[in-house]
This record gives sequence, structure tokens and C-alpha cells, in this order.
Amino acid sequence: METAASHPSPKTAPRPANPQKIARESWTFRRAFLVLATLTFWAPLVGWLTRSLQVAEGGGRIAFAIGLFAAILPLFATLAFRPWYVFEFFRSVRVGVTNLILIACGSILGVLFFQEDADFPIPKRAVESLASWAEADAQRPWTSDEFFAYDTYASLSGRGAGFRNAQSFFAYRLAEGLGLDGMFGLGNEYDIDYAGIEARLDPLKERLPELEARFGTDFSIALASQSETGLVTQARDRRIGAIEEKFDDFWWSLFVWSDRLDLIRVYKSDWFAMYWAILFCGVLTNTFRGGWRRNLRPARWGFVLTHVGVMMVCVGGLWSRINEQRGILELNVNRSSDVWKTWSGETRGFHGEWTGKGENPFAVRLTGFRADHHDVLSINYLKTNPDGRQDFEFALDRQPEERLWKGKVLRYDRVLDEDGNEGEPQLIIEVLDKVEQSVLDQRLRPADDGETGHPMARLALIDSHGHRVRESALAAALEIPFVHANSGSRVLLSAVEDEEQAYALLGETPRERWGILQRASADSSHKYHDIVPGLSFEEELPDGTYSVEVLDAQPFLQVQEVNASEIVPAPLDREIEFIESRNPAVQLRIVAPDGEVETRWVLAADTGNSLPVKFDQLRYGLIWDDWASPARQRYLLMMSAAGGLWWGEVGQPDSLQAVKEGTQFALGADGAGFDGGPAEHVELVQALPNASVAPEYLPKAGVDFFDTSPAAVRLGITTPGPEGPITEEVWLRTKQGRQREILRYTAANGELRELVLLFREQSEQLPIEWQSRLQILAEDPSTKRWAPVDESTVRVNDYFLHKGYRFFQTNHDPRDPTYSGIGVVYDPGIPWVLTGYYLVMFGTAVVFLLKPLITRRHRAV
Amino acid sequence: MDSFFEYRSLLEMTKVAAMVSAITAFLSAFGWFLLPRFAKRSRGLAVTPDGSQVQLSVSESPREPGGLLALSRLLPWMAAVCFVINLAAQATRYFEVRHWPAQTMYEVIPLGTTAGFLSCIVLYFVLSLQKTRGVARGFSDLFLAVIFVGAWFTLVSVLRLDPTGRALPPALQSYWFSTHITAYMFGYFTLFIATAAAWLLFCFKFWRGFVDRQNHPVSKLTKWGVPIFALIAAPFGSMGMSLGPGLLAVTGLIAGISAWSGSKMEWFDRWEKGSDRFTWLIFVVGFPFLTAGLIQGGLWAQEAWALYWGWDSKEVSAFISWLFYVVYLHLRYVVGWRGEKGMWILAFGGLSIYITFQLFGYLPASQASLHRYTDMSVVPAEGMMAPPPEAPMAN
Repeated sequence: METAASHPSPKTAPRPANPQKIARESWTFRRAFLVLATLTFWAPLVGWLTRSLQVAEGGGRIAFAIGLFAAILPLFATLAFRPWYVFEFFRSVRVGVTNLILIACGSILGVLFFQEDADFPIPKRAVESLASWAEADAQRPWTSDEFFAYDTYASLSGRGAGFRNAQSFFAYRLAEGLGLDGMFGLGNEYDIDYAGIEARLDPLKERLPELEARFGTDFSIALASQSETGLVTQARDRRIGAIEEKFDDFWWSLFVWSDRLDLIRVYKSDWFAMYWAILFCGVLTNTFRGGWRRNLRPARWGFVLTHVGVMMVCVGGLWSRINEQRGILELNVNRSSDVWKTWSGETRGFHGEWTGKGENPFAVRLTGFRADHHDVLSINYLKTNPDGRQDFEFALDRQPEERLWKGKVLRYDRVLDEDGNEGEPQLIIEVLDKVEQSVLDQRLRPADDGETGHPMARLALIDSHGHRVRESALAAALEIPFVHANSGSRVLLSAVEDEEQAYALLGETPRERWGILQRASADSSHKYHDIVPGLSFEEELPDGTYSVEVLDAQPFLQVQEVNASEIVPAPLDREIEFIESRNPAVQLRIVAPDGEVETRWVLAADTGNSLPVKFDQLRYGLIWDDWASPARQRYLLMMSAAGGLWWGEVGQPDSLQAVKEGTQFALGADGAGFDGGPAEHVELVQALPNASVAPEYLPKAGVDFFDTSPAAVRLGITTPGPEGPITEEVWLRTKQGRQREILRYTAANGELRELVLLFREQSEQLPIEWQSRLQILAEDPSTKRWAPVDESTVRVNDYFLHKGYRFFQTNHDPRDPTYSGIGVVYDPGIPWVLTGYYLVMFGTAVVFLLKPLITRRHRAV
Repeated sequence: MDSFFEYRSLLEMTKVAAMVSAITAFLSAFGWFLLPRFAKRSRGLAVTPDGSQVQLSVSESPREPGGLLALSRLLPWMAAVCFVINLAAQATRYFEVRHWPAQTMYEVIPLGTTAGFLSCIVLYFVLSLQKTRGVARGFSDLFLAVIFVGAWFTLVSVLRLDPTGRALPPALQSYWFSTHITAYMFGYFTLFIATAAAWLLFCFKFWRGFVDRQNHPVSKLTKWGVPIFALIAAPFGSMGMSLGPGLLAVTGLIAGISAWSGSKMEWFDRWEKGSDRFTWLIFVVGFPFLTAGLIQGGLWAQEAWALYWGWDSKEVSAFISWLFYVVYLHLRYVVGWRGEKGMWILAFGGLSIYITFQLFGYLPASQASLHRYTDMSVVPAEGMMAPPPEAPMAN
């Protein structure tokens, strides 16, 4: 390697005749490193002085100004008196390579140290303030900034791993990998008991062949793998926790020094930014070394594309850093807003003070939102205990679940021969049809031979203009009413024997209730409570008696905000009789035996029971009762087996009238509905006393993604029968229909198999897709009214760009199906960076792939 | 027959194919290396058809036996067979999970081996291995054997992973999902091959220093670098042991065979002279794909979150690996680091990629990474286990 001593010093050397040659020779790696290392300390000093100067006052301001002047003087002096020296520095390949190595080293520091959240940085001086808290003023309470800083260290609030945990995790895994985890000196109680883990796994391993035969090879391997890894991970987590606690003082000191040296914000540090600035200058001077005309030669195109790309990325990055704003726009469906919030909590307008000056402001309206979850078929094999109760045959944390699509075939329960080899499957489930957004086939069909017929009717809603708006089928057996929200009416079909019974039925006033509260007990049994406002009851649990009170119930809960994980509902804009049950919820007040109180909302949509609650041992599900919940009027359509049809209003037996297909009935009275307009009608389109109740579903026509109709699936299920396999077809639907199928068959070994197939939405997991439909509203200068000017649908991976603002799908709230969190980004650096990205990618391909292919210079030896 | 066209079955078949290919390549390689020895043994008198005796001689380049040459020529075809079966496995998985099979490590790593087999076929012709003649062909066959062994070890470890197929979360539902990961896999596995090539060449250089110390003294860099590299590789499981110290031992054995045959590894001359270019060409094939993978990640993040670079720990790890190769590129291109120094950078580049690809989850910042999609949930089925020791036993 060349040394600096072997070359004339730039100070004494005459101006070189061939600057390019000198540039190559006058910088060694050692000199380059020394200069860059000096600059590494210089850049944070200048940054600190600049920021301090901005906030300092009085004499301090003068001191900082002098300090800043002294710090940048050498740079200016070099630029003024030795510009060629600076130019050579940037043009040196050795400097460039050393700088790249330092960027890599900075990045390595970035991954070796926990990094603060760039959107939620630790407030300035908060760590320093906290570090001196114990000595300086131990009695005063922490400030919110200090609490935030400590939360970043110890993750008290549980928002991800904190510094201490992350570093302990890394230290432990590194030491373990090197076989040095004994160096932490933890007690024996934290040793990983591999023999104990093996012993715990033994019963599972014994049953693995059975599980493999029942659910397949992949399932049994996954179960064994997850169980073993899970146990080892639990043991490791205990060790990591112990390392956190034992070395807490060390971690805290490391945290404080990491804050001081910007090691927890490497990528935003001044020294790291300086490396990028040097990279830009180096690439700039080298790309155009020897004149720009050289770069027009085809042989250099790839080189030029790549290096111009790198420069554009640097420029775009700088532009982003200066101008970028990120935040969130929180909207409910059919609400609009002309302001959004940055992640730091500041409220901004669109094209306000900060961005797009001179442009007219605009607002954003959410016209549609939906989070679509996976639809899965859960396969639950059951066993009957000696006490007669049923339980899962396999005590898994989650019974096997499968995503379904048309044509998929699931094979279970393979026959095992004497040697344990697997044979043919005994249960075969074939997906014959899958409808993502299904609608019940409203056409009534007479029951087939051998099938039990039930009374069913089909109604059509006629609006005030006489148009058929929608149709709906009613089944007497299901007791699900036709709901007309505008008039607050409900219509139910009931089976009666004759007119006399119909008259009597009309005279009965139904018991009013909102729905049913269902509690799952530890013994897999369920307890039910009819919900009415003011209801209170007690629950006996092992730790004592809990008292529960029903505070409120809403058929369509819309979340206004969440305070300390408690839902604050948006106020209702109408009486509840006029609201359809689109997100039914009930509010409970629970008092624990120790007097602790929890107020929670239980949502019918939360079928996975996944919402956070305080008293986890007391979990409730909700089934809303559309018929018995408050209504303005309830109507009964009654049908006898002989075909008699009657209509009347509940509570008014004298309103009973005989009807026939084609008859129309008014829902409510003129002016009594929510909109105060004329009453709407329903028409009895079809009625069958012995209709088939086996539902069939059709794809809902003319709907887009935002329609929330549930998915339905038609399954062909083959099970062993006494005279060979029996195949039956069944429709299942995730909601508003038949969700489960109970099967029984005798397996080849003579055992009775009982299982339940459950088709459900995996609402407790991430959605498969979520989309928001946005409308841009702008003021029309002529009319001074806000009107839509643009519209688009956003989803993850597909944002909407409007006048420099990028809107993209960020989050949703399972408690409020109408809420959508829209990410907002204003970043004029993005086009620069993207262009740079493409140039680098194509430039590299030209240099390394296209050019060698064309010139065929690739033979090795 | 329904189990034949299952992902797992096809992966098992690929594993077997890789193992058979590795054994074939080793046999072929050792055949070439033993050739001078057996050719010497045939030296002596032979009887011609007319009954006269003729003195036989062995040239420096013994005649290539047809069978050995055929075995050697079979190797690229075997790589093609491995590639086709592995590709069929990936296609089958696509239909099993209904998305590009690259979400879990059970899917991503076989995607990488598929790319590795493809890369092997491409490199066979880029490096003109088919034109190698004589004992020198033993090296190219051994190089292929190392790739097959690496693939076999990789597939063995994959088949122990959790095979659960998962649906794609919204953020992964993008056309970049397939191109970004596939480009990375091709880049990663090609650059792993570059590491293997550099390591293999260093092993032979190391041993040649013993066999022919006078004419080919070992440089300090290689003298210390080879044992250190072998030690570094050793902790990385059975694959690290086999391809690190194991390969060093195998090359030592081959050097011993050469010495036993009275040769001073002259066959290695041309490989040694071309070693820098040999490894460079592998880099040339892999690096554009590594770059494409990195850039596509940025383009994808921009579409998903309007954030072209989020300094996520996985992004940064990949960026560090990329910088590693950019530094190699500039040192070799501009500063003139050809030969050993550049090749050592390539050898250690594989380690950087391995950390990004497999050890990333151990880094402190990895727990908050947006790239944890591939991690499987590890919920133990406690209900089917024996109760923990401290829990009361049920009567």
C-alpha cells in the first residue's frame, strides 16, 4: 500500500500538471480514514452549536456564535485557500471507498443498537434530564418527556420491545451462539431445562402419528416444531428477562451514552448525514472526471446511469429530510376533514401554512371503507367425556383451520394399517363453490322428497315511488326478521296452525331485549343472559363474585375515539329504532371482588373475542336480537301448513287480515318514519308452506369491495357409510346463515367420530385486505361551495396521490367497522429518489449483464 | 398419487437429487485427481496384436477416459434435473398456498435453492467449465460438488422447519413480493457460490504451499486467512463444519493424492492464474440481482407506505451486504485489489449475506422490524403436553 510519506505533500507540491494522477496518488487509506474520522467528530459539534445557537439567548447566543464560527472556520479557510485540496479529497477513490466503509460501519452500529421510532423520537434532553433526576431532584414527578424516554428504555407501556430488552436479547443470543451464555452468571433457576422440555413433549410426540393421520404430515410437523420452539423460547425469554434485571444499571448507562452519541438515532445523526454528503460530492466529482463528453460513450452509459442514480437518491433524501411530513387522517365513513395530524401530534391543513403555499386548500372525505378478513373452515373433532360433556378430541390451542377456495380438496383421518402406514382418507371435504360476497338465493324452492319442508316467504320492499328496492326471504324456523330502518319496522314470519292461532299470536307482546350475552366458561359450557338496559347480574369465578351491569346497548356502534383503551362512542343521530344493526354492541360495567371496575363494550362482530379487556377471565360474546330489540312497530306474517296466509301488527290482534301473494302492506304510517315522508310498503312476492330450508347463495350482483355481505361456501363432504362412502353437499356462511355443520361417522377402527365444521371470519387476525374510498373536496371559486374534484380507492400497496399528498391505507379499528386510518405523506423528495432507484438498478444491469453479453467478455480461464 | 405432487414430497426429491449429484460430482472429481496415479500404474510393457512388446509412456496430460468425461459432462444435466424438480416444488407450493411461495422460511429457502441451481447452470457456461480438460477438470467438478452439497444441507434443514402455509397480509400483496424476493434469492445464492468458489481456491492455494513450497509459497494473508475462515465457518452447524473445515480437509486430501501421484498440483496453475477472474465473474452474475432486490424493496415500500427507505433493520442489514460488495467492486475496479485481497472480500461477503438472511432475527432492532412476516408463530400446544413440573398433577 502506498504511504503518504512517499508522495509530495499537497502543501509543498506545485500545482500538478495532471490533477487526475495526483488525485489518485495523494490520498492513502490511512489519511482518508484520519480525515473522515476527524470530520465524524466535527459534524456533530457543528450540528450541536447550530441548534444551540437557534435556541440560546443573551450571552449564551454570542458564545455559541463564536464557537460555531471557530468550528467552521477551518472548513472555509480550506475552501478559500486550498480549493484544489478539497476537490482532490472528494475525487479520491480511496476517500470514497473509506467513506463507503464508514457508511457501512454507521449502518452496522444502527443494527447493533436499538433505534428509537423515527415517527415518535425521544424529546430532546429528556434522557439527560432523567439521568440526572435521581441526584438532582428525586422528589419531583417525572415529566411526560421523561416518562416517554424511560418508556423507550424499558417499554413500560408495552409498545414494542424497549432498549433494555432489545440489547439483552441481542447480548444473550450472541453469547449463546458463541457458547458463552454462562458469562451472565444467572442462577440455576434460569437454566434452560432441555430434558424437562423433552419430558413435557413426550405425550405430544406419542400422539403425533395419530395427529398426522388425522390432519396430515404438515400439521403434525408444524405442531411439534412450534411446541418445541415455543417451550425453548419461553425458557430463553426468562433468561433474557433475568439479564435485563441483573444488568439494569449497565443497560441504563449504555442507553444514556447511546443517546448522547446518537447511537439510538444513527440514521438521523449529523455524522451519518455527513458521510452521505461526502458520498454525493465524491460521486459527483468522479462521474464527471475528465469532462462530461466522455460519458456520452456507450461503454460508460451503465457507469453514468448508476452514479447519477446514486446522486439523485442523495439529493432526494436531503429534500425529503427538509420537507417531509408524515401523519394520519382519521375518518369515519361519510365524514370529511380538511386537517390531518402529524405523528408528533400537530394539526395541519392540506396546502396550509407548511406545504403547497399558493395552492387552494382541499378536504378529504371517506366514502367507503371495509376490512375483509380471511374466511376459514375450522375442523373440530370432539369427544364425549364420561360425564357426558363434549370437549375437543385434541386439546390444541387452536383447532386446525383452512383457507378455502373453489376446487380445494381437504383430506383428513387417514386409515392406519397395523404397521402405522397411512392409507386412504376417511373424511374428504371438497370446496364445490365459494362466493366472496354472497346473497341468499331468494327464490323459494319446494322441499325435495325426503327433506322436511318449512314455511318460507319472500318479501320485496317498495319505495314511495313504487320501485322494488330490495328483496328478502324469511324463514319461520330462523326467526330472523326483515328490518326496515326508515320506518323502524320489523317483519317476522311465523308458522301457525290456523287463523285462530294467528289472532292469538298477534295479541302476544314480545319480551323486549337487545340480545343475548354469552359467557364461555372454563368447562366449555356457556352461560346466557338476556340483555336489557339496567340489567345486572353476578358471575361466580374462582377468585370471587363479579357483578355485571348493562349500561348501554347500540345497534350500530361508531367509535369516536379511544381513551386509555376505552371506547368513546359517537353520539347517535337518530333514535335507535331507526338504526339497522350494523355493528351491535353492549356496554357493561364490571366490578371485581376487590372493587376494581371495568367498563367495556362487547361487540357482536368480535367473534374471535380478541378485543383487549381488563378482566380477561370474564369474556363475553354478543348475539343481537333484531326482532326483540326496540322497534316502532312489529309485523307478523303468518302461514299455516295448509297454505293460509295472514298479516297483522303485533299487539293489535284486530289488525289481522288474510293475504295472498302480491298483496302490499304499509310499514308504519305516512309521516311517522325517520325521514317524515310517505310510508313505504312491502309486497309478499312468494310464499311456500313447505319450502326447502337448505339455503343456496349467489354472488351479490353489482357490488364492489365495500359491500359487507358475508362469504358462503358449498362443500361436498364425503364420510364413510355402512354401504360405502356417503357424500353430501352443504352451504355454510360466515355470518347471517348457517355457520356450522355437525358430522358423525364410524371410522375404520370402529370408533365414532364426531366433529363440527365451522366456517368463520378470522376477525382476530390481520385482514386479508382493507380499502378506503376517498373523495377530494375543493371549493368551487364561482359557487363558493365545496364539491368533489377527484376520487380514488386506496389500499396497502396502492396509494392515492393528490397535489403532492400521498394517501395510503394505514390502519383500522376492529371495534368500529366505519373507521379508517389513512396515512398522509407530503414528501417532494420521493420522485427524485425513485428516479435514482431506477437508474441505479438499470445502470447496474447494463454494466454487469448487458455489456458483457454484448461484448462476450466473460470467459474465465 | 395425491402425495406425490405435494410440496414436501418434491422437496424431498430435490434433496435426494442434490445428494446424488453431489456424490457423482465427488466421484468424478476424485476420478480426475486420481487419473495421473492410475496412468502411471499402466506404465510398462504391453503386447501388441502382432505379438511384439511395446514400452508405454504417460504424457503429462494423461488421456481422458471416456467414462470419466461422460460422468463429468453429466453434472450440468444433474443440476438441471435438480432445478426442474425444485421449480416444480415451488410451483406446487404456489397452488397449495395461492400466492408466490416466499412468505415463510419453509418457502423462501427452497426458492433460493431453485435460484442456486439455476445460477449453477448459468455459471457452468459463463465460467466455461465445459471446456476444462484433463486433471484440471477435477477442480470444476469439485466446485459443482460443493454447490450440490450446500444445496443438500440447505434442503435438509428446510425440511425440519414449520411447514404451515400462511395467507399473505395486505402489505405483502404486491407484485413486488415475487420480484423483490426472487431477485434477492438469485443474488444471495449466486454470491454464496462466489464465497464457496473463493474458499475452494484458497484451500487449494493453502495446500499447494505445502506441496510445492519453493515455487508457490503461501502468502501471509492466505496462511492465516484459511484457518481463520475455517474456524469462523465451523459454528454454523453441520453445513458450516462440512463446507468450512470439512472442505479444507477434502482439498488437503486431494493435495495429498496429487503429491502421491508425483505431481506438484500443476493442474492448479491455470485455476490459480484465473482465480480472480473466476470469482469476479460469479460476482458479476450475482451482484445485479442483489442490487435489484435492494432497490425493489425500496420501490415496494414506497408504494406501501410512501416511504422509500425506512431504515428498518432488515433493510439496513441488506444494505450493509450490498455496500460490502460495492466496496469490493471499487477496490477491484479502481484501486486495483485483484487476486487474494479482493477474493477474501468475496469470501467474507457470504458471511454478511448469511447474517442478513438467517441471523437477522438475533439483532436488537430486529424485534421491531417490518420484515418479520416470515417468522412463524411459536405457540406450544400445551394442552397436549405433560403439565409443567411446578403445576399440580391431575389425579
